[in-house]
Amino acid sequence: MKWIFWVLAIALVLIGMDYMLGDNHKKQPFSENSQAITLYEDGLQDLFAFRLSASVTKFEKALEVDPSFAEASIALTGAYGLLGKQDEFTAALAQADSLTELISDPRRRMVAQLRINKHPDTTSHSQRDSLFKRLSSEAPENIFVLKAQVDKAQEGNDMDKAEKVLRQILEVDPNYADSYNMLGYLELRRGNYDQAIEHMQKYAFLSPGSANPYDSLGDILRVTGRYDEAEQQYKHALKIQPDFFHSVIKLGRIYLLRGQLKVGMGIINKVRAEVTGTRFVMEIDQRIINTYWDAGLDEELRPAIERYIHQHPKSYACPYYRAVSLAHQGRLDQSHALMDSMLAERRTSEEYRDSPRMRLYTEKTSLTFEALVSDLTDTPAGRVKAWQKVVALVSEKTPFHDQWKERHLLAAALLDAGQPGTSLDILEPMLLVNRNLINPLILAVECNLALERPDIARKFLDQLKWSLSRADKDLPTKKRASELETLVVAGEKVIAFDS
Amino acid sequence: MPSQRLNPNPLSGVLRLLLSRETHLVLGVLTVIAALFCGFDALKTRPSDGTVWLLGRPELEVLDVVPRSHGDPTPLRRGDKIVGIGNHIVSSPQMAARQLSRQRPGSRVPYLVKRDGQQIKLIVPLTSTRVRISEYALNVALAMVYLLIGFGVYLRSGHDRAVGLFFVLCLLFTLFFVTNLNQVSYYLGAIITQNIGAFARFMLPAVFLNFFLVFPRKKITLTSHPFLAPLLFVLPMMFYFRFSLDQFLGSEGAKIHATSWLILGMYYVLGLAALMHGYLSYRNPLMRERVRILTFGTMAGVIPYLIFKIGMEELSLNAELARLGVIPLVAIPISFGYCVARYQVMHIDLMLKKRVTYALLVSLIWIGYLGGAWWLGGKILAFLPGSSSLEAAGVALAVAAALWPFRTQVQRALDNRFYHSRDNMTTLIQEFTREIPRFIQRDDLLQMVGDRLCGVLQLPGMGAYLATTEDNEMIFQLRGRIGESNLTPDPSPQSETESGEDRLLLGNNPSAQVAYPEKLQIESLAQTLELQEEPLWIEAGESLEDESKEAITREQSELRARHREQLYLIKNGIQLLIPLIAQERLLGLIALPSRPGEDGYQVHELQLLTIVAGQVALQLENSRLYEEEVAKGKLEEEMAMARRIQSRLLPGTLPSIDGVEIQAVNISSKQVSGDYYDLIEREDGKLGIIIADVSGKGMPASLLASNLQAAMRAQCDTCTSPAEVLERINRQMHASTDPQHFATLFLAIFDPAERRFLYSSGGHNAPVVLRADGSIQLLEAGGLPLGAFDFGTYEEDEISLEEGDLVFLYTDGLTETKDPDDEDDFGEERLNDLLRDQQRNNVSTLFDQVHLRLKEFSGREDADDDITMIGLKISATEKVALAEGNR
Repeated sequence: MKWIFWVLAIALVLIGMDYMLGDNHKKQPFSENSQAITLYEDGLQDLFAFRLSASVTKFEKALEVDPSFAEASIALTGAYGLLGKQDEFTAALAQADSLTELISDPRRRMVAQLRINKHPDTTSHSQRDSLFKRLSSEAPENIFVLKAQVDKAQEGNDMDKAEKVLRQILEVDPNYADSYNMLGYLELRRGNYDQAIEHMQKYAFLSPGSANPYDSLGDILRVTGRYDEAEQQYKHALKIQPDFFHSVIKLGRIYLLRGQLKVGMGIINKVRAEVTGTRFVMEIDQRIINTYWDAGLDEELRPAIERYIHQHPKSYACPYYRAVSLAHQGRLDQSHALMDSMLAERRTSEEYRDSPRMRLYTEKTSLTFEALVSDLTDTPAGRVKAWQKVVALVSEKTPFHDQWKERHLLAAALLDAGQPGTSLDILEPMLLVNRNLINPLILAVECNLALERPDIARKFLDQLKWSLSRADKDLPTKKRASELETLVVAGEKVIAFDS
Repeated sequence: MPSQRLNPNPLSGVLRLLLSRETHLVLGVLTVIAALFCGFDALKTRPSDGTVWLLGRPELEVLDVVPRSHGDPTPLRRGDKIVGIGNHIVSSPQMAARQLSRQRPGSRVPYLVKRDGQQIKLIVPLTSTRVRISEYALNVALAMVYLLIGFGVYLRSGHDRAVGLFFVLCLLFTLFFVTNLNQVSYYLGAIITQNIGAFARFMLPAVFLNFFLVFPRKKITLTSHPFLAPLLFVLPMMFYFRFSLDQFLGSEGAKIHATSWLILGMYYVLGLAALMHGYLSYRNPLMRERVRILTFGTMAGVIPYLIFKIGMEELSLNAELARLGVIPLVAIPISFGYCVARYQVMHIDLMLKKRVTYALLVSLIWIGYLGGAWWLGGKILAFLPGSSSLEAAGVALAVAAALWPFRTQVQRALDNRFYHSRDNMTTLIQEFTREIPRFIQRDDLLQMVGDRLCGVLQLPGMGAYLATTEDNEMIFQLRGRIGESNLTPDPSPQSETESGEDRLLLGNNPSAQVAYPEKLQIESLAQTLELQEEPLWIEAGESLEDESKEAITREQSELRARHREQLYLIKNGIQLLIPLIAQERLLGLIALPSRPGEDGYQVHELQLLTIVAGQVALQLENSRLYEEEVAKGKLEEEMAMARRIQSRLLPGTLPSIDGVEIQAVNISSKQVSGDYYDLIEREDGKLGIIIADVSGKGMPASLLASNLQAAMRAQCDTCTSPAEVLERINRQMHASTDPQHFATLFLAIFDPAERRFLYSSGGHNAPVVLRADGSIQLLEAGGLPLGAFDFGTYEEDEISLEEGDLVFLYTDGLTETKDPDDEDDFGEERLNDLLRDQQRNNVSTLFDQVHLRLKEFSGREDADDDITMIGLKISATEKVALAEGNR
């Protein structure tokens, strides 16, 4: 019967092990209140799925149940930030800051502080860096710390580092959906569109109830000129979440890119009305200005700029728009003075010193302004030089698909300067990625006509006609396409006659 | 020559451990657990997408798609790489299995799949891994047959290699069946099941072949090359390891290749060949009959398996007829079970009496025990905070251990109730072990054992026979009839047996008649008993051929003799012979009559009888050795006594006479003989000289010599005529002793003053007189040996001795000393030559030389017989006084 004592001994060991490994030794939860925890976790799910209003409701309820729940307050801050509700954001941030100070566990407190400091309005970059370094060594596998590392790497344009950390996050949690979203955009920046789509598909697979993955997938498809598929993705996103205004805006952009300005602007204006009171209004107004500019609708462009200046006087873009307007009016001295003043102020700011993004934005604005002025005043060769500077800057710092406007303007300058071949060299890589870019297509036809290659011009023209097939009838670009049709036919006739 | 056992193989310990009963039982328990696990796993409803994955790779690639018998086909294709399942990204087979396990069979689950470089989303309808119960039930039933028969055979058997292998074979077949229908899948449980099934499939052929190499007869090759048996397992083990590795590393996943199947199939074929060879090698039709059914049952089971399962399904990929190859496998355990129950193959009792009720009650006890442990554990857990699996396991173990003694008590009570007789047997064996060594007398021993066995087993009686040899033939002599009180003389006219013994009835049953002949002449059966060392059922069998024809071969002759012996025993009502064997020698046997009624002898009774017979045989051997020892001790004691008596007969000192050198010596042999001498100094100054050799050895001879000495002393002191003395002594001896007891004796009366030597010889060796001139004279006057006849007359003669003459008296031990080849005696001539050679030496030196020459002649230190010598030499004036006495 000795074995009975052995069995009893084993039983005691098991119970002892359970005690040792039991709840007493598990890490402290964020809140003692399980209901608050549940609400917080559900809220996070909504937040990651961009169901922002729903997430706000849950975070607020969590804070009602446990008023000291710092993490819920931080998440609420993030939700308000994404909603663009500045006042609520500021209030929530203050509350999160104070609650974070009350957290007794130092590591938990630091992680919370890092999450708060993610928002640029909070603390200085030096404080943020210090916190980031400490947590990177003390809590290297904490998702929030890793995400901060990704943000930092992206800010420093270190895509390899960003990718490495993102994969590290996936090792910790293979189903951390946002990582795939970020990886997708990262590959988009690199120009690896197929891989970007794969990541976005995984993101969508992981978040079937969220609109954002389809919105992100639509972005990649839009960049690559697959407008119809992108439209489907945006519509799918809106089907999941009808109030997901990001997709609405992008859907409007798809129409604009196709030349369906009326429908597109209608959608955008409708969204603008819906997001009144948030920072998204400013973004939408910028989008409207860019659209009119790209389409060459000068009559609509000027009121749009004036409206922007009027409604967003504190925006960084305001002095730029004013300066450009002055330049177009021939008041170059005033225009330059305004820009110089704005740039001087910007370049002496702390943000300019600490943020690469701000430095890029500032210098790009400066060079673009110079190039635009050059377009108005300079010789074709001077224009080319000015735009080459812009392209050189953006080529280094921004993804390829974000350089199209600058490259198109450089190509136009090159054509005007009598260098259609060089111009085509600029255009063709863009059209290889997105063959539905209307303005580069027009320019490509013109370059080929200048090179007396009507046959190649025909190909681009046919593509242009297809791209404009659903465009508004009174769209100036469509009119220009008709003119080019005549020229190409003439060129073809000459060739036929010669042969 | 050192024995091989002194240098055991280093692996022998491991092998012994592997083949031990404990290991077998552990294997049995593990198999039951594995079978339960596999069965549970097979019946578990778990979702399956119908694909086979390659384990052990970071990419989850679909290796194969299992055709579905029902439901929508899976849209997955071979070569697809599964990226996500059910809105979760899966980066390993383990993660995928975990995700899939969260789904529900019948549901449609989104899959993210990479196909042809594109990542696509598919909706995959899931089915269940659960096998069809109707099909699986058949496999479970087959497995149960194997398991029950395997355990039944093993638990009722002794530790035997063949039984162990049969047990393992049954275990492997059990595993084979419980895993037979399991689908390949990626769940841990399914992977374990798949591996268990593969293990069974690979090991079965090797165990099958090994079993039939030791059963029904162990092949001589295995005996002479013990390493061959382990070698059989090398290839299957290699196949299995390859299979295991392929699950994780192989390009096509785990698969039993055609080559492996072919080789495994060959194992089965060789196993069948070995079985058939074993069957055919039985010359004895009785033995052949014992294994006939199991031989054909095994063939009937395995051949369809080879054709349909291996040949058609595995090698030709035609699974339609596979079932035809599996179902017949049930013939193997059934045929074995039948043979075990019918013929007690492998000495196994598979009686199922009382088993059903007993099994039900045992089940109830277990249900009660487990239920009680469950209930009590639940109650305890309810009081404890938390409910982790570790805590639950700990509490369950503690409760189970605490309740175990109660379960044991109840089980013991049940066992006592149902198997009381077997408990008695255990007690009885212990009692016999204690009692048998106390009985040194064979008849008492046989009587005691017989009475106890008849009493406990309620045997109708038994006859105990001991083996003896008559005319170089072994016969069995009846030493006791036990249970004769149960026997009544048969009044029927045919009640006298061939040998004339009265036939007795067991109780009042006329059909049960028995006689125990005083002598049994069953040489052929005795050989079988000695060879097999197991009880022998006496069955008439069929007469092989016409008895009137002359047997041609030795085998025919043996079979016929055996048949005759069996018939003889049957006619005498003897049904069972239990051999009494010790040290591989058949010492005797116990003859049992047929038991009245339908019960017959149960195997556990036979086991008891066999065990007790072994103990009895050992004790009989001990008894024989004891008797020999006692006899030897007694003899030695008698010899010592005789030697003491003889030594007292010899004179302590030799007489000292002027002018005469007298020497006497008695050299004793191991076997004390009846030599003695005496030298009597008479009052008239004369010297009586006596030398005698009494017939026989040891104590009788010594006693007779003692009597002879007393008589001679009484007669010799005053006598004047030696012949008259011898005549009187002869008559007295003849009157007081058996005719075979007699003595040769030489009596002389020597007058030293006159140097006259008057003598008479009673059949004794004639003493030699060596004259100073070297001539020899034999003193032959006398008559017959004393005590042999009552009519003897004796002559006497007188010689004169001169200076330098030597009279040499001796017993026949001297002249009859043999050379080393035992062909030639020392003889009188050599003695005379020796005496002449030593004429100038004194008597003492003469004796030394005689002794030396005898040793040289015989080549030995000791003598076969006592040697006694007396020397008397006439010297001038020197008076010699040497009295060496016995050397």
